[in-house]
Amino acid sequence: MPMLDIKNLTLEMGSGDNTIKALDKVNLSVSSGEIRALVGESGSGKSLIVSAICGALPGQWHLTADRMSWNGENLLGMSVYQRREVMRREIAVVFQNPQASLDPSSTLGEQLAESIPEEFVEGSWFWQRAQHRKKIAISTVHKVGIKHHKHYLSAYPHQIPADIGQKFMIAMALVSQPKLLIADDPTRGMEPTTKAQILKLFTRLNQTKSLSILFVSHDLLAIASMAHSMTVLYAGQTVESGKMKHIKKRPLHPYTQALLDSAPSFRKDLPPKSHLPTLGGSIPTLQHLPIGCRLGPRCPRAQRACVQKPAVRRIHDHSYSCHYPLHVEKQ
Amino acid sequence: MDIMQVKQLSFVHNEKKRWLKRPEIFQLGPVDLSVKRGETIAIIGENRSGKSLLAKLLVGAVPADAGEIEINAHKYVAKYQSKDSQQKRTHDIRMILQHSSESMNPAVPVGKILDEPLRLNTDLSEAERKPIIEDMLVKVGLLREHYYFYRHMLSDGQQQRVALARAIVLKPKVLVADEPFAALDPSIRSQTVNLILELQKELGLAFIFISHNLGIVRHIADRIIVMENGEIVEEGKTETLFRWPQHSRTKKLVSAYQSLVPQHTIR
Amino acid sequence: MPQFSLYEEEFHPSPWQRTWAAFRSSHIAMVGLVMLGCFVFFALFAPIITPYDATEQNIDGLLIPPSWTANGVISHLFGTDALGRDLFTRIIYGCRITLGTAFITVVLAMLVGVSLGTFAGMLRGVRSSIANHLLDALMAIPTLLIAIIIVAILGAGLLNSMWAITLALIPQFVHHTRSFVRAEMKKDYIVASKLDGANRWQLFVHSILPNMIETLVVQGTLALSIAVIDISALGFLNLGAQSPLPELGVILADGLDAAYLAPWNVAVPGTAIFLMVLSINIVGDGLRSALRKRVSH
Repeated sequence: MPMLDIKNLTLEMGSGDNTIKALDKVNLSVSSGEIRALVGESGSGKSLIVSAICGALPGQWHLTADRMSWNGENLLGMSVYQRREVMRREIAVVFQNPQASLDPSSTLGEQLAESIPEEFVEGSWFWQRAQHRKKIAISTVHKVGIKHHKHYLSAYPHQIPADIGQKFMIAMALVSQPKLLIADDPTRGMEPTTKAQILKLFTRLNQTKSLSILFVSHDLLAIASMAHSMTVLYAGQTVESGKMKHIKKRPLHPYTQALLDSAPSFRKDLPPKSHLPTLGGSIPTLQHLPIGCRLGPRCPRAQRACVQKPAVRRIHDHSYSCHYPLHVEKQ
Repeated sequence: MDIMQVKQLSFVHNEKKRWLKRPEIFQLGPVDLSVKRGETIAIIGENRSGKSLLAKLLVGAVPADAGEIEINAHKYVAKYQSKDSQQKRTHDIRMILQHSSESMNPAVPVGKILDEPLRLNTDLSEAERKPIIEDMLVKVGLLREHYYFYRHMLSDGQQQRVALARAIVLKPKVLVADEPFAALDPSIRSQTVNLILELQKELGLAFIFISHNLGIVRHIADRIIVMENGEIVEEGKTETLFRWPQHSRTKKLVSAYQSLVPQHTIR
Repeated sequence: MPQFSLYEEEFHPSPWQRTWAAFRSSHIAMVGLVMLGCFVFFALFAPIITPYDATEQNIDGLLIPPSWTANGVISHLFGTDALGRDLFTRIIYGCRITLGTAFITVVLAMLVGVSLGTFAGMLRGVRSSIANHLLDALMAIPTLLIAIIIVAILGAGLLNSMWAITLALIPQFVHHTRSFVRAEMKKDYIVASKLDGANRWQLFVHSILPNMIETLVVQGTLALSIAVIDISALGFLNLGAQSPLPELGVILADGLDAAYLAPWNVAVPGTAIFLMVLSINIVGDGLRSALRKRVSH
């Protein structure tokens, strides 16, 4: 049974004639112990999904879903208190820019010690508890691979390099021992060595602690190296979803194919300095969303039927929504 | 044939101990570099290794301490930022800054932004400049009507194209770009890469760019320069560097890249 | 919008049009703008719309109540004062003088302050600091006090009070402009313009000024309200405009003598000053929020 199960999530703003559907029947599920990648470019709504899961949507959005459950319990039906409990203990989020997510006025050690939940700290006197907090902080920081803990835990956020910063954010996320870690584009703008370190850390955490990870990004190279399964999002619609190795070998949706094409490392037959195969046009803004399949105006395989939103079809574990998918013979 | 030769370019950033400031020392160089016509060179390295600084020194945004840059038989002494020699440099080497949205003035329409380099560097009248600008807009894939647009009306990719148009409107020989693809989405990135490749073929541009995306670097760069701590530690043809890296920094970068590339495509 | 569609007529506003649209959406700001517009109209067309002369004394009609009371006459809309001068005329001319001089002071202060501030912002180091803090000493002294000092030296009068207030308003402009220009100089598009070969003057006129105009307008509006209050206050204290010049503060001071007999002599000019300052403040505030709304998008 999947841990996080979202079916037909729709996010709307406005009413009547000018409703804007930022998310249109999005399906997403994360099973325990797997790394799922949520792939989408800017404007696809992936940050909105993260906000929706966390319950941190801005007020003007209306959320409707057929199913949005965590471990079998309906997230939408919970009271605010229960929702907060779930967020606090079972889901943790890591954001993009580590420096922006840290309080600039206190040291890293203080922030980490402060965020350890009460239940994990032992000791009856307050100094015992403070000491235990410090111990937990040090051990967590070691787990994510920061070696010189004394130096870094007493440093301020502006004094640490980016890779330590991101590892520290992961440590902050891990102290509450969550079951699901949502990483919102954590490796954006990082240099290759740092990126490789962070991704290795994610894989290690997934394997040793069977931590499920929802990795939101548009960096296909990073995702392809570590994700087990992938959901592709375009302009608020899920276009394809399935196991990583199936999708890599046979992408069924033209958009997935275009995404894979945009990273030249995936194909060995491209002559150097040749044109990359690409989709023309650009991502539609919220005010100008096309009807039906939103890739329609840009898709090279689009035909008249594409003004109807395609239904979700499955081949084994691999689901896609396209009227004219690749590699599938139409009768 | 070499279109650009850089000799002994060096820069020492040594803030003298003024009252209220602590001294910082960063030394770049001396750097020797030669670029052929139509060649693409990628500069890679860790953060703070001096890549952006080298780009700025080449273009003349920051005056160097010593060195000579020769482009297309024009010699520039890198120390000077004086108006005359800088003028000439704008016809030979131009730069695209890292964040394309930041490099556009929000209160000025696209037409005026593209008009500025022409106005400051050529003697053309206003009536002669407008058709050049419109041609340039079409060449980078925008529409003539974008002449009147403001920054907030353009998407990321379009802003990047405007930055590109601004750089090539003076028909330079060398184009320097500081992480031009970092902030772009994959589909827009592919389009921009294709656009730059086309412009290279058409204008014979030499393209020097800084990037962290080793996949793109491997695809479009002819030569690669690896920088660390202000020095060029390794330099060579793309494939040679990727398959047989010599310096430890290069080895680290290449192995980080290889760990991400799917196994079956490792050559 | 990413794709230009040839079939829809889309409205492409410039940044200033967007600020205006954001301003218009606030009803209070529009009301303030209408009020301010009335005052400006009075100021510009005073000689045409007033029935009498400002200093014309009518011995027979002293202290006539305003027209809406039982004893008032319609020919004197707001009544007359102790010397028989028509209050309506005096108020209209008063708006002209108060608003006009306030406007001139602000424009002068802006010119000097913005030049000094730009100068300070584009330079570095000690020269910049000197330019920035040159007139800071003046900020510590309240404008009224500065005016009294200047009046003590030069003598009372409207012109001297204008000098005083101009001097008092300059430091704010210097500080704001300098910090704005400083922040702008670090921006990427200025670096790009420099790479294009622009010298400092060209940088200022073509790249910095378009961005600065809106903040200047907002600041100017707020400085205008300070100037209006100060000029009326100085007039009231007899240090600025002198009687019989119909400046709103002077009218207020003149009306004080007969305040118990004829309260409208005090109420009407007081209300005029109040509404003028209120409308300027509302407009300034509305402009500021509109600017913030536009920038945050």
